[in-house]
Amino acid sequence: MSKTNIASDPRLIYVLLIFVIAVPILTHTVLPVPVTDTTRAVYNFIENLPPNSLVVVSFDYSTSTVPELQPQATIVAQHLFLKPLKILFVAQWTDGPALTDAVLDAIDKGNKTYGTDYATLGYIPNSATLIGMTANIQSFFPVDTRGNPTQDLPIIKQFPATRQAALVITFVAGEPGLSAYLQYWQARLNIPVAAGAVASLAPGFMPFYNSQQIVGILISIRAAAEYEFLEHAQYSQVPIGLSGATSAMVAQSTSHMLIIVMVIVGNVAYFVSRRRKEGSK
Amino acid sequence: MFFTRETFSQGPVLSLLALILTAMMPLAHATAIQGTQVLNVGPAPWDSAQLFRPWVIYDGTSFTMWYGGEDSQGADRIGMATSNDGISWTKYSGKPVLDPGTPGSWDGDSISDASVIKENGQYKMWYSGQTYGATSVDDVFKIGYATSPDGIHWTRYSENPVLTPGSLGSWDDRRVWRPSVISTGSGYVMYYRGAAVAEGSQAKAGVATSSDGIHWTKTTVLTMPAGSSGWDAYSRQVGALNIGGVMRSGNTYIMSYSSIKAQSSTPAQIGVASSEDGTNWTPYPDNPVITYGTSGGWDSGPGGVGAGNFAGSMILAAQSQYYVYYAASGPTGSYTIGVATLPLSVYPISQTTSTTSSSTVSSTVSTTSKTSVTQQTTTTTTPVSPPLVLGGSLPSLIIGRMSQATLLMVTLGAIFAVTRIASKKKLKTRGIPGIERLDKWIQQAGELDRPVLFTPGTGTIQTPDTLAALALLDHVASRCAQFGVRLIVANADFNVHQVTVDMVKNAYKKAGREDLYTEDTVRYISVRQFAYAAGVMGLLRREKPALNVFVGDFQAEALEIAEAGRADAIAQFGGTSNVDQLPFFMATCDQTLVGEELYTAQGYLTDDPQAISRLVGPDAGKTIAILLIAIGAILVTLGNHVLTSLLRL
Amino acid sequence: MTKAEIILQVIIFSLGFFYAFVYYVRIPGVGLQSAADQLFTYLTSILTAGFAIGIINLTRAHANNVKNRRPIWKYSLILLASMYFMAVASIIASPFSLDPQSTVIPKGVYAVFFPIWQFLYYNILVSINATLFSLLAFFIASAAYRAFKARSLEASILLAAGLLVMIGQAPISNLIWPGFGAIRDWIMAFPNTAGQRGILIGAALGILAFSVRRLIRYPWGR
Repeated sequence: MSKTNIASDPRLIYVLLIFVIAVPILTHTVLPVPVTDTTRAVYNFIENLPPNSLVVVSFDYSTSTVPELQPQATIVAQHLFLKPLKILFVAQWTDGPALTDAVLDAIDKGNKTYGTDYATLGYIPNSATLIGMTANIQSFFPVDTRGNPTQDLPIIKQFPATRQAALVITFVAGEPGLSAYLQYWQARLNIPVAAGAVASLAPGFMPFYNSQQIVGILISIRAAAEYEFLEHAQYSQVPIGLSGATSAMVAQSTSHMLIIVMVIVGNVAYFVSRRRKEGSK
Repeated sequence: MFFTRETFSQGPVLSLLALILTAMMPLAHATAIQGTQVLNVGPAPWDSAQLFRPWVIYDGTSFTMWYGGEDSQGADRIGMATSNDGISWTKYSGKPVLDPGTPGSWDGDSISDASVIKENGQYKMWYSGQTYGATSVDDVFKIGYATSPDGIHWTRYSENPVLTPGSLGSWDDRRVWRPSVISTGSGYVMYYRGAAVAEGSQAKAGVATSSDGIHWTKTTVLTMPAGSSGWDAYSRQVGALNIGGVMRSGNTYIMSYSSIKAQSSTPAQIGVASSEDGTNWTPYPDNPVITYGTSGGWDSGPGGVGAGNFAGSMILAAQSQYYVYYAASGPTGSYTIGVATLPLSVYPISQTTSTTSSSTVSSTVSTTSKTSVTQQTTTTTTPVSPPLVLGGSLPSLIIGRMSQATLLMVTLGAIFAVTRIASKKKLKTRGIPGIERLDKWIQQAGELDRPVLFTPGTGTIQTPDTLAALALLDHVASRCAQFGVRLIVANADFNVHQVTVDMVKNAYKKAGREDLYTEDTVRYISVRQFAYAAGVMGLLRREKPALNVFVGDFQAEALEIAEAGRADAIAQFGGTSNVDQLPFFMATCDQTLVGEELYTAQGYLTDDPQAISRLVGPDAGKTIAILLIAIGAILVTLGNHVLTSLLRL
Repeated sequence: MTKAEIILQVIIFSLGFFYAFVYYVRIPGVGLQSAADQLFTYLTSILTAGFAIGIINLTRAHANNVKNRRPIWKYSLILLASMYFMAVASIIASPFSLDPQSTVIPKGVYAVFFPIWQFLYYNILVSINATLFSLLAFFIASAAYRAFKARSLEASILLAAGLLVMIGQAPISNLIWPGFGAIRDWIMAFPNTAGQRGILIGAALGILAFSVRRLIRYPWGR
């Protein structure tokens, strides 16, 4: 193996990594992704929601996890807008409202109108608001993020309290996030909860999924790719590249493989050099 | 002392034991049983969305069931099905047997929750009728009565409803529904569910009595009797008894009820209880009896079995066994009906007046029933005792946390007792080598005339990791003052920043080197995670410290800081109890404080026997934990749940 | 101990003990939980006030840099300028705006500021944050290369487990052999969880002893 000691000069690794990640993304290669149960559970749940149900979408992540969660949010929001549902957007993290707007700009809203079919309520500052909105949205959100008084919005007139929600789905990268909805919405009022989580949090949520406290988990950007496939299979007008997740999948595979290969190569080099040292003793 | 870091972390026996125990975990099994589905939604449209509230009677030869079915618009009707064995059922003709009343009447929007008794050749049904309000929160339920010669063609009582919500302010002033009626020979007793208008009020179980089934007198609210395990802790705590059905077996009343464990809980399960008088109940000691499924089956949905908006259960004895019919939520969210049979040999709910082994808590009489005065009369035929409340009006430990409190006390006691004993002895620690190197590294930094960087992570002042990091900062700051080394502290949280400013100033003052403290010593970078990471990485590159100490609460930025430090071959000392980040620390630091070592680091920094004894204390707690885990794992594998039930108390 | 320290000691102990007490004991008729929640709200308010102090601190520190022309003064200037500009722009014209209906601020000002804010937020802030987070990919690669050397038996086990989990994680592995996913699930669910729980229990016990000691003795020092 080459004598330029890779351990002391990681730049070679970095260059290879850049190449291996950039090529699939720039060439938009697509890889079939097997759909996991946790993702399918979320998809089926949303698919089977009765018409005119209320869905609350919660943006609980910040700008740094945008690459991991924004694809999920985009593709799920697109799914919600394809169905005859009413949607309320809230956020437990301060970056949430801005990211909500970004997602809403990216999807095709069909013939849904703001105020009647969907509304963005904004930031939930503390658990008191989270609990209070289950009884009365208007007193905790007197205006929405666009400044409209919520009492005038048709969607709020139809659903004055979130306790009537058929689903709350939270895209979460930390705390506050899923536990708040589980504690105050699911346990007290039996509102079904779904979660889209970053990869480091997902293992911690599996117990909730196994005990059916949440209806499903979308695990990292991979779930966005799976969801995209599911959605495209049923609604062919949704393009495969909408969330950008599928080409990221290929990049993920190739980068994983590169690291594995490097580790193996490194170990081989290590053993060879050790044997040489022992041989020269 | 036996318990040193080495023995714990490298004991191969211990690792092997842990491995065996973890691999055995999937072998554990539950004792509650699951039922089988007997009735599914559809194919007729009227019951194609949900099925709920089965009510079954057995006339000696065949079974008849009345159930609620919901269509895709959300309207409910009552249907019927028949069976010879209680397991395979045939629905009646694809039509409901009872439709909602005329639009605008008290039961014009939706009807459900049939409770049927066959007496003297005639079928008698009590059912809930629903009027939609502006929102589902405003829906009103009342209970009505109907009769039929054949169970199929029903005639409503002319002056329905027969049970209405109470007057404003009473516990059931919004709705009364889901009746379960049994005949006592001389009259009828109805167990029903009631709820109040008051925001956030919990639906409760109420009792009403009647001599003719038409004119009812509300008597009392049932509260949850004491039980032995925690599966119904939530019901007991909030007084929310979700009764399914009640039957009589000789002189004993038997009911099925459903509950969940705690507020943030698993799906509902079903248990049974018995009573001599219909008001004071004793749960079956091995509850829950019926549980939900897990692997995508008919009863594996999030709602569990027997409870929720659509549910209900009922119990009857037929053909020498108990049948419990219940509605369960499925994986797609719709409820269907199933049955579980309880053989009398395993479930010998006694037909005599013997009591079961769990004791009822008899306490001071408490009037939790908020029925208004007009409804509380004495014209009942069955004697009614005041309801029993667990704990009554005395302070009590919260159920679900009692054993935790005990364990906490025991552990704390053990920790401090062992600390006390250890402080009397002259202990020497085989310490964490890195801690000893810490002082040497600081000294070397002084000789190289390079600074020391300290950063306590992105936690707030409330995070325990941050507090532990600050304790270490105290030591580092005083050593830096002692050796005349420049210290840089980089903070992510503004409150932590205030505290560190004070702390470092004090440490310098104590060492008599106030001159060393400058404005740049303690810096506030940013509360945003990656702005902070970028700031610290920049500091590492620019200031080129000889030692990078980063302990505390870290998220993803830990690896970035560590790698940036490593690139410049700086000595790195890290520590956290965040298990997600520990692997990164271990891979990049010259020395890592793992988990509890961060909290006990104080002990390693001095030779003070007091401080060293503090290291030993938590070992006592660990011993307790290991014993509990080992014993519990073995017991559960053998099928014995005593320990797990105890711990859930 | 001075008088002030004694008072502080009493306050600290009673508040801490009260919180634990409320968690375990219920007294019917006494609203203990709501009192505890109220206390927590006070705490949050006090802590949040620190935010303003943080901003003042930052401003002072970086203004000093500029004034004294320290080597990095240009960057301090950029920091101050962008911080205050973003604050003002967000208040005026953003999804966080205090006046989205333009009742006070004229619509023209909104129309000018909003695109600028949008550009700065989405094209700079979001991009920079995402980039810094993504740097982790490179760092993980070099850390993995360094850490996964089969130096000893334990290191070899670590290597094998790490490789298996990584392979199972990559979607392409499913095309090679579906068993990788099952192996990965087993490793994550059992040995990994068991190890994590062990560390958690140890850390929890450490926190327990540490915190109780803090409650009991206020002058936190040696």
